[in-house]
Amino acid sequence: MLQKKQPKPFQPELNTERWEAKDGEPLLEIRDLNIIYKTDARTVRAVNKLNLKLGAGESLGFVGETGAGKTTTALGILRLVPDPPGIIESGQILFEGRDLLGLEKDEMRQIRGSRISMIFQDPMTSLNPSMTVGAQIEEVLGLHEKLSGVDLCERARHMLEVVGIRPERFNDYPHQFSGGMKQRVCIAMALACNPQMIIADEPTTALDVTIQAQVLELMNKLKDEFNTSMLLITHDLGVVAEICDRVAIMYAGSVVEDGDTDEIYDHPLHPYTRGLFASIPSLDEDVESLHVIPGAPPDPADLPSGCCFHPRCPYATERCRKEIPEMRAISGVDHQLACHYVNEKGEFSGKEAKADA
Amino acid sequence: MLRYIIKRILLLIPVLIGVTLITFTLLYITPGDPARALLGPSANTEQVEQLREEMGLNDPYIVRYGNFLSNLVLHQDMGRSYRAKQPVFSVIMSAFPATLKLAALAVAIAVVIGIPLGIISAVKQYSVFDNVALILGLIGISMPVFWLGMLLILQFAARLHWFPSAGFSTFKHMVLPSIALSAQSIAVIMRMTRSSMLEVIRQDYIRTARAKGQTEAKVIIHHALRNALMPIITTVGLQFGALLGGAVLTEAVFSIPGVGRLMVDSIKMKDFPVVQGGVLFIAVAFSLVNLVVDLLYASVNPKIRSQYR
Repeated sequence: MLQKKQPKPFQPELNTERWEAKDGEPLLEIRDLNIIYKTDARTVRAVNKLNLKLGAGESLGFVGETGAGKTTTALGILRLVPDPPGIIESGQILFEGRDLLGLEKDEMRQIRGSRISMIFQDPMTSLNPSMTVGAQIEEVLGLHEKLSGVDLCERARHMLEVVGIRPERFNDYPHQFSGGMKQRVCIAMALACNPQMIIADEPTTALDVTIQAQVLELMNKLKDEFNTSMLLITHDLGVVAEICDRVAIMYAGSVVEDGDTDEIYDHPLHPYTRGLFASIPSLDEDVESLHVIPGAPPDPADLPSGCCFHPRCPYATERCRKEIPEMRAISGVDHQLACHYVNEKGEFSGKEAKADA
Repeated sequence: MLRYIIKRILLLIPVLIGVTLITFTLLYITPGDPARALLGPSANTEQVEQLREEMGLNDPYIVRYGNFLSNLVLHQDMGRSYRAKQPVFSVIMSAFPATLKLAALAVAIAVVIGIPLGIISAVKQYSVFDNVALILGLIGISMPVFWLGMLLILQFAARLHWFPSAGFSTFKHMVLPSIALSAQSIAVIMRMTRSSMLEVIRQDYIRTARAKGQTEAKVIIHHALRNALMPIITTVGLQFGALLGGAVLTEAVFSIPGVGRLMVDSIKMKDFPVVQGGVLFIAVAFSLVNLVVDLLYASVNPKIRSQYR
């Protein structure tokens, strides 16, 4: 029965299995991933030759404007892109050395919730309104762990405690919780089976600013405690700086620049990344108007030729309009980007187009 | 919960007063003379006038309604049938079991067939299955029940002799009329299930369930259907309630002595007490079905459960 117990320190007694990386092999490697949404009228290229790496125990910030394809990429990793209309067209998603796109449906199900789990953007709608939160945590445990009856319940209660919810609320329904509490329940569900990797899709966007910090702090703490890798989708560059080891900047369905967080923040090179950083308002200076990147993200159903950013890039040349830039590494540091006018030493040689005209 | 049920039953009182008032008024202004109908065309005016006096038909409207209400409330008496010379209640109760069985079986068939078809249609939206089900549903809704009934009799009673064509004594008698009666309900329940499921399947929590690694079958049944159930329950309840009022055409085609036929015959014969009592009875039955539907809401939706006080 339910008695008041001292909360014991968390011990991941189950599924402590951690993947052993061989020679710096990444935990997750996405190669040339293409995901499209196809309707009779048009084909939307949501993810476009995307390449991404995430090491074991690492956390990666995945940054980009709305519509850049961040969520589609995340759903693609779990193979949950709604079909129809979504189709994973080509590419590879290597996770723990296996290509997820080649797995049978049942094998994929065993990975979902157990090896990779996901925290969704809107906690208000992400929980089943007709099931108790306890039952929803038990569900994921029951699917992946050899637990039953009392043990299952005990473990689910423990997960509630881990995320800071009194276990007495086990039998409450989602509508009896606030938004922040619901997101905690979602986190408890995502961590219940002690996954190797968590995908958090803008986990704090739907929350109050004061709750945002709490939830982020909780996620960060649990990530360290459970030694979990994390893919954090966000458009908040501040959050990335605080939490993530690495950062990837996404534009029009592909990664344009990625690398070590400190390196990118100190030396942003891609014109888009620089535009993003420049658009963060500063508290110290008084400015007349906020800096914006001119123009709007391209229509993913009709992507521009060459470098997708060229219509908005102040340095764009004829070459940018014609040639798609390759991803290039800057020597000596963990920093890659796709721009014609940056060399291996990290020197930018573009000229503002206005100067020419 | 008990308090809620009692409250709902008390709320029935004004509803039923309204029902009796409307039926009574309608019957009052209906042309035709029950006494004349009873005595037949050969009776002379004096005899008719005498019977009118005995039946209380010459009293003013208010007095007649007052008498009806006071008998109903004080003596639980709905009067006697002009025709059968028996208490109205026992006349209705002799017809009701047939109607109840017919309605229950028809709705059961409709639920067992309609809900699964609707689920499959929703899961496989725009597929061949979905389109075929849509067309069959349209046929089901538009085919007149007496026509379907006659086709069934022709094939399964007259040609194959599997089932009897008329009467209502054994289970075998119930099969054909229930099928005929369920056709429309199947179609309605199927369409409602489909649209309700389609709405739920797109919800975020369905994606959450899939992200947990749940099997597709359980995602659909445990997560989606449960949340899609409210409008389906409403539809089933409405169908059942409507059928309790008697299925006039089906009962006529299969010669079933049910409430529908009783009501039609009574109206034709100007047997006003039976009509009045019958309408009241049907109203009570309908309201009780609705109450059960509302209680079922609470069992599927925890949010409503906490509101029922």
